[in-house]
Amino acid sequence: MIPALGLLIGVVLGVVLQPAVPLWMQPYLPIAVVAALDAVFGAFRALLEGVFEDRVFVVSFLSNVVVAAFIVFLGDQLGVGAQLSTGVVVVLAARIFSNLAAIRRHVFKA
Amino acid sequence: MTGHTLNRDWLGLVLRADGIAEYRDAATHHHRAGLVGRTLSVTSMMLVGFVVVSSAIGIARSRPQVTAERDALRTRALAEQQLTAEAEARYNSARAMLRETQDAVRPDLNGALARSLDTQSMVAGFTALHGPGLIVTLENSRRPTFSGTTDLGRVIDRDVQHVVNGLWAAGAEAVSVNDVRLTARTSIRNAGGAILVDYKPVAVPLRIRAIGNANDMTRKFKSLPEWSELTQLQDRYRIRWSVASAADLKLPAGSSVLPTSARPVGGS
Repeated sequence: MIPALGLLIGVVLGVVLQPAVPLWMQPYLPIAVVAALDAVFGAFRALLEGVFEDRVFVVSFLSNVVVAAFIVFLGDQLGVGAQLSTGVVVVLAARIFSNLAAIRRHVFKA
Repeated sequence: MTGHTLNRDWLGLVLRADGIAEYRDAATHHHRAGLVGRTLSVTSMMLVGFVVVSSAIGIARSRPQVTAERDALRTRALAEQQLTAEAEARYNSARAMLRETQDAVRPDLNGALARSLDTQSMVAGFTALHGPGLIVTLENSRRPTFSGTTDLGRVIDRDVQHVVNGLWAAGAEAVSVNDVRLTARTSIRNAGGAILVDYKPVAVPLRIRAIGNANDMTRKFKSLPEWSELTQLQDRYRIRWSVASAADLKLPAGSSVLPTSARPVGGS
């Protein structure tokens, strides 16, 4: 419940502050968003299964975002940024779908 | 799991790697949620919300900006076009004045000089002309043929140049592309996706009019490499083109500038 409140506060802060994303961060933002969503859906599923753990969530969220950003950075340096970004998005999206399917089963029993 | 099965099922592996195992593992070890862990996870959640909303706002904000830039560019292009039109109008009125002056002095000229003046201005594209001739129509392919992001089914400057060169070689006396008269100093080139003739954008379908003997021109044109080039354009990229003869074509005068370096050999 409290983490959900945190999410809400973050959303409100984003709406109120309307931060301008620095130019150098722009290539990483979409990947960071997908990685963050992956961590959130994973956490929500764990919550429904009753195995949610703050430590695991924090570590998976931070490592997701950092690793995803690093892969994009590396790809940009090697000149294959677009391809690697696609790879990261595909893997994370697959995880999101898999977690969503589990959440759906829990919520709707279907 | 052997390497072989792993290989075969790598996609399934990726799809199943949803991170829930980490939670389950941690749950079996019964870690109590400490204050630090709770604070960090709430902070992480706040970060998630913040990042998602910021990026959404960023996208929403950049869209009108792009539109505004495009509109500004459009306004500028239209203003420049207006300037060109005005300059052209001034040029045309100056030319009309020149013509009046020429007509005024004509009675004083001897016959040969008057004829020479007429011929020169006709050849140089200074006079609007009419007469029988051919109309070649060029049009983009109905279906695009992409090579990368370039649509090869579009008419480009080179295609127009082929037609025009072919028509000149076939004996055309005067040529215009979409009512832009060609002179010795008219360029036909691409600028981005647009074809510029005499620095004016022309749109497809392109109608290339050539004054001359229609039958002779058709016969000669068909024997030229430019004709087979056109046939190939149709075969390869489905660019549509046709040739029709016309009894009376009207070609406007050209707006090309006068030569500045060229001098007639042995002329007075």
